[in-house]
Amino acid sequence: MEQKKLIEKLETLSKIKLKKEEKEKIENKLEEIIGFLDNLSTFDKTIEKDNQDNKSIYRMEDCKLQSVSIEDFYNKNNKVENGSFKVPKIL
Amino acid sequence: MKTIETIIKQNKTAGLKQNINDLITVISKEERNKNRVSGYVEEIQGKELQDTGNNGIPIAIKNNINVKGWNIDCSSKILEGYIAPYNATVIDNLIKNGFAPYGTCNMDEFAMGSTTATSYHGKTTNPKNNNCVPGGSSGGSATVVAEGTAFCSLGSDTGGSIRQPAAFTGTVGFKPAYGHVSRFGVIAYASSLDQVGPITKTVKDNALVYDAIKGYDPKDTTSLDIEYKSIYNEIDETKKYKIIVIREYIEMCESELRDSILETIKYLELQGHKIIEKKLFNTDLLISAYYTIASAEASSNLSRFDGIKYGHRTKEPKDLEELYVNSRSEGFGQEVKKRIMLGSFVLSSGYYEAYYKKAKDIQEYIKQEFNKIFEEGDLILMPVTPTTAFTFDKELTDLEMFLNDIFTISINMAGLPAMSVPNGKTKDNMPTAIQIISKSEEEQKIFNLGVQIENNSEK
Repeated sequence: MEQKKLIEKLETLSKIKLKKEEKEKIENKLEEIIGFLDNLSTFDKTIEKDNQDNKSIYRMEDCKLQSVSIEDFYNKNNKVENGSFKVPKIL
Repeated sequence: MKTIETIIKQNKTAGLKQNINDLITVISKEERNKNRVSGYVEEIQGKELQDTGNNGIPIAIKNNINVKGWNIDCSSKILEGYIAPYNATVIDNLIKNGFAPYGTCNMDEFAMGSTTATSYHGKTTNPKNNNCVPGGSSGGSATVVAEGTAFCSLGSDTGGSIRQPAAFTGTVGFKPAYGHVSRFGVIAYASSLDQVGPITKTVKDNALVYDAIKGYDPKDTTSLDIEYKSIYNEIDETKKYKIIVIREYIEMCESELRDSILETIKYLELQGHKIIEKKLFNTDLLISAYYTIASAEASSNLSRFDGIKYGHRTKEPKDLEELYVNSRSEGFGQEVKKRIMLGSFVLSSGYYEAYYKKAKDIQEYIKQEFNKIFEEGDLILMPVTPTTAFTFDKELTDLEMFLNDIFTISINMAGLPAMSVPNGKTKDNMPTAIQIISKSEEEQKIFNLGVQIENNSEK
């Protein structure tokens, strides 16, 4: 459900409407990729990844209105280990 | 008499349809002649570039570099039928220096991909083995050179898009330092990472093309106003260097590739170069940072393709919003949509600090790490890719595809120059390659060492 909401939000932000089959494909991949991008949070522990006080310098809307938190992805993503995304081996 | 057109016709007759996609647009001889300065080379195959006296040399152009009057579409439906109204600065520079752009090369849609399979025009195959990918995103540019359809081509490199296809096809691919080649007229993917560079058969050919395209351009605000020096005229095959080797990265490669790289390093040591082993940064963080920055910039750059300013326009929209949304949804392919959405996500409220800003911090850290490492040596040697060209049927997930760029993206993040040089072949006759990196202002060293590696691999 959370992923569906995120996709809807991203469709609005990017001015792109996905077809049903595209939506299904992207939905799964996006979760994995965002989980992977969350590794960035390990670079510097001083800024919490889900700090709701953080605001974009370009967007002034209230961050607490965000309908999806990264934490949800962490909880649901079985590829996350000790707060870091586990990198799959290609070799 | 062989021309590009006859070569393509021969390919058609022979049933090699896959090769047709390497050159999407073939310009007629008359049109081609308008672009050249003098002495068009009719006999394309079997000649070395330098033997022609550098006059009217045919060069193939990646489909994201504007050539006046050509259909430049970034291999995307959204730019179908778009006719470039002006030349990119690199094209003007080529013509000024006696090159003759004659056709566009297939690429991943908007340069997003590592296989050339995301192209709206269909996939290009690797001329060394048609079951294998040619790499990407400049897969068409590398293929035309590898199969001998072109002496040279231009590609663009945002995270390895020149070097990886060069490595997969056994050609020489050079990504110049950021700011050394004008980006004016090049359709942007990620502006802070993109650079245009040559793909050729030999290192010396590469220097000739690079000499032709580089230089300060007031029309590009990121162009560096530095003294022009010819690389080709200064190539010295006897120079010895302190070479830093990242063994950890080499050990991550598949065995045949790893062994060939280690053999090259051994050869260089025997020739009198000093080899120093060092470690570099955590590659996991690097990839996360790269894809954050590249996607963020892509979402911003590609916002102009809305059916009004540029690009495909949907039929009979009921309002302006629907015109934007439907035009973009119909025009972009799935890979591009995914990256735009990812970019929108990392720039969106609440996540900007957690992703984009953090990624920029990592970029700064990478630059510092490279500066530190260059205090101890002249050049860095590392693999271009963890594997040789893989087959189309190898279904890689997005993350696995990202990992294929693991050794190339840090160079774009730091704005450094780097070259992929063929250094051998596997038992299956697939090319292996090695990557040479220098400081921004020391590109000459890359070419000097590149020639030495090339000489050894030809033995």
